Amino acid sequence: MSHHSKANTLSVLLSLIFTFMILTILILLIGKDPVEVYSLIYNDVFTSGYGIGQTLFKATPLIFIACGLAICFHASLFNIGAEGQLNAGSFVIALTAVQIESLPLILKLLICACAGFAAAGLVGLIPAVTKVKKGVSEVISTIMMNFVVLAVINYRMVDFFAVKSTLRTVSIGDDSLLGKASDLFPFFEGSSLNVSFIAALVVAALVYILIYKTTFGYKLRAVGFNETASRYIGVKVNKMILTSFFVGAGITALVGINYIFGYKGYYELGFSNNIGFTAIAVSLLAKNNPVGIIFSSILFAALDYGGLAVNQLIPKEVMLVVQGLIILSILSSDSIVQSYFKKRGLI
Amino acid sequence: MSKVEFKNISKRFGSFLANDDISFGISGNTVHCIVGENGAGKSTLMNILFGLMKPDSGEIIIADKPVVFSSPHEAITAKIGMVHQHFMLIDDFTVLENVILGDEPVKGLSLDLKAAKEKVDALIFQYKLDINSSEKVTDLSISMQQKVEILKLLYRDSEILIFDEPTAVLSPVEVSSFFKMITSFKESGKTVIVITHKLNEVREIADKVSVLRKGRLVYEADNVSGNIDINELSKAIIGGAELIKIRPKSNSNSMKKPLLRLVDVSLVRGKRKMLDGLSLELFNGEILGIAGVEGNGQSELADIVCGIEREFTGTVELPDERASIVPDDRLKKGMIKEFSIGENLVLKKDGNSLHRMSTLRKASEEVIAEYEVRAPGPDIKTGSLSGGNQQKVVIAREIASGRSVMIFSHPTRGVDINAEMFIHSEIVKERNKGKAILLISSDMEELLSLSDRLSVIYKGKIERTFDSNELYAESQMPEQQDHRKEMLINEIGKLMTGVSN
Ligand SMILES: Nc1ncnc2c1ncn2[C@@H]1O[C@H](COP(=O)(O)OP(=O)(O)OP(=O)(O)O)[C@@H](O)[C@H]1O
Ligand SMILES: [Mg+2]
Repeated sequence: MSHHSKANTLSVLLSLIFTFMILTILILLIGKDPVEVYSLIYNDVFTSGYGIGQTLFKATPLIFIACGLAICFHASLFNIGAEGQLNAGSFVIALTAVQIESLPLILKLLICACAGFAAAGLVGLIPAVTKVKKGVSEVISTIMMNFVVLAVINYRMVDFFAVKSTLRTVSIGDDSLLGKASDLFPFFEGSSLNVSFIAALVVAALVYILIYKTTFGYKLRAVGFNETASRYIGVKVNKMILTSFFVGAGITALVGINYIFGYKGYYELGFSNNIGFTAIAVSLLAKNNPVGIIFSSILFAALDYGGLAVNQLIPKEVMLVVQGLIILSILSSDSIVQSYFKKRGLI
Repeated sequence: MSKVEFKNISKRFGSFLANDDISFGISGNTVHCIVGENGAGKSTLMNILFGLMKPDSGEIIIADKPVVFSSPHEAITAKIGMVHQHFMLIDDFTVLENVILGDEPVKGLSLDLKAAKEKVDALIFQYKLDINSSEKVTDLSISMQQKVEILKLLYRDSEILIFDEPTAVLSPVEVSSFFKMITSFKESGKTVIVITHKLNEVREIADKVSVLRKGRLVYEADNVSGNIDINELSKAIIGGAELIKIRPKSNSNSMKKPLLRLVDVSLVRGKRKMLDGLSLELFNGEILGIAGVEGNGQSELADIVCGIEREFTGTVELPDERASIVPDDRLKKGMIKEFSIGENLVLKKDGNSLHRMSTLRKASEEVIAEYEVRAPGPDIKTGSLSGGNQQKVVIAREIASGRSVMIFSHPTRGVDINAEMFIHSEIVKERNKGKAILLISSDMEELLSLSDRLSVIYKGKIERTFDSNELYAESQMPEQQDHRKEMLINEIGKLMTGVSN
């Protein structure tokens, strides 16, 4: 292991330990027994097939979105617009699926994924264009795009697509649904875990290769490290900004496959529940490394599901506090570990 | 008695020995020069003295007391100050704010700016720094910024002043005023340590010089009123190695065609007109030197030709999409310092393909071998290479990219003699292959020994172009040539400063 990855692993471990300590103190302050809470979480999340299944199911969209965001983050593009991008993508997936209902499932999936990818990608492309052309900060424009996209979907839904007196689209039909894990492994009985989880792992592997092994990835990271030098070396920086936004945003649409084809069978307003923002933290925790993202997604999903499990003892919002703490502590432990390694000339 | 004493200092990076059992003393109240090839370990040794790195073994003794610094802050408290080759200033702050940053005088709860300004202005006056403490750093030239760095040290009453290649970024006039400053520091009782590659500077300012080679102290000499033996010194620096001799000029009068043509190009940045109707032509197989005082449009010219700056008026004709460039600031513009050599080379590739560790490593190894880069291994991040070796990597990459027009902007800044010769011969090799080369430099020797034609730029315009028979006369006697060269430099100097009109 290189010193760099040693430093990274060390700082992640430190911050997890720190978070764990604070969480313990919090539980004590609430007046509950930490041992009881932790054993409840452990039993619920890690020992039952249902718990593990639900955790992986909840991790699936996080992996998709965080991998998309990681592409942008590696180019130092702070894309805060995943929420809008993934909603646009999922909405289009639901609408497309209904239009091509008679096609075989595999073809339908492919077409829907492409359509969703394009829709989310285009939403991501808008802030990229304003950045390249006019120097508008992508932080602001991506946040604003979230509102715009959700407002547009709202309006189209209510007027055209929604099933009467609901906030969802018509169902894509039961025979379109993806196989559940429990069909093959009864162990997962009752959980919604489905094939999309495997797809998420494949996407993570592909994004890993894209970022770390391809010409595109090297240029992407070069822009992130030093935009000026990249220009002098001859990297087409503007093109990189546009493509990384398009591809990164496009990938977030794949959560729609998990939700619509793997779970509900329709698009529903508000389904994303701010997961586009959670994914930012997931990606940061993993240092924007897609392999790390798999683990941090599972961790965040476990916290999320664990929050439900312990809701009877402590408010599940405590788990939100934990997610926040992880981010804060990773940022600080990062600089501590980095300077420790630097002083010793190790990195 | 020594003011500073290094005792058996060793420092490893991985398996690479950057400082190898170095011991020597620096007497108080002197100017001590440290010279040596790129990668010899000079900066490393100074970084250790300044508390930026810890030695693996050995100790530092200051005024007879062993000290251990674990941060620059502790070194500063011990009255040691260092000006790095790359300045560390905040552009949007004024001179005063930059100077007091980290050591602000307070009155009650608020900043006592008035007292600080008085102290800073007194220092400016005492050492004749000729700088306005309320000006913003963005508006300052490089040499002025250097003075701000120096003020930072003086403000903290540093007694030991370390300069890492201070003259690399200065023009000849600025160098001599810098030397006056150094002398006045010495006269006021301070100890000055200067890292440099220029041996005539050593002769001019040093009381004593230490030579490092491959991490070891190999030679020391005193310099009493300029009597130091420069030949001995350069032999010590390069060891047994032969200096590569500069090749003769190309005289192929084969069909020349212009590869680069600029017509009436103007460029405004902010409120300033940086280029003002500049026109020039550059032919295949020639080196066109651009002489000028820094800030007269050279970097803008380079930016336009390499396609980074597009907001200009006038026409630019180029055979390729852009020219390749070896930029003036290798850290900020020349490379991705988080990447290895091989990874930096990937950035030149078109299209998209997969890159394996082993092929990248091989690419690094090739550059290391072909360009004699001193590096501990093929995986090292380019940011950890020494300055001169970084420059070789940038040059290797740009040459490999195979564009027909190349810009070299201050290509040998902060580069040792051996590497300088090497880089010069690479430039000439490219010229002889038929490339068109634009050489921007403030080093007159470099310009005169490489240029086939030489243009002088002043206020964004080409003042005059000397063609090759004005620059070189074949059949003259050596002393006539020297005389001629002196006249030429005189003439160019006048054009550069706008005195001639
Ligand atoms: N942080 C680091 N990690 C690994 N190697 C390093 C590091 N810093 C320096 N080195 C290596 O140590 C050697 C000495 O470097 P140093 O910067 O001291 O050279 P230098 O004498 O200042 O050269 P130059 O004149 O080019 O600035 C170089 O080969 C460099 O690659
Ligand atoms: Mg150095």
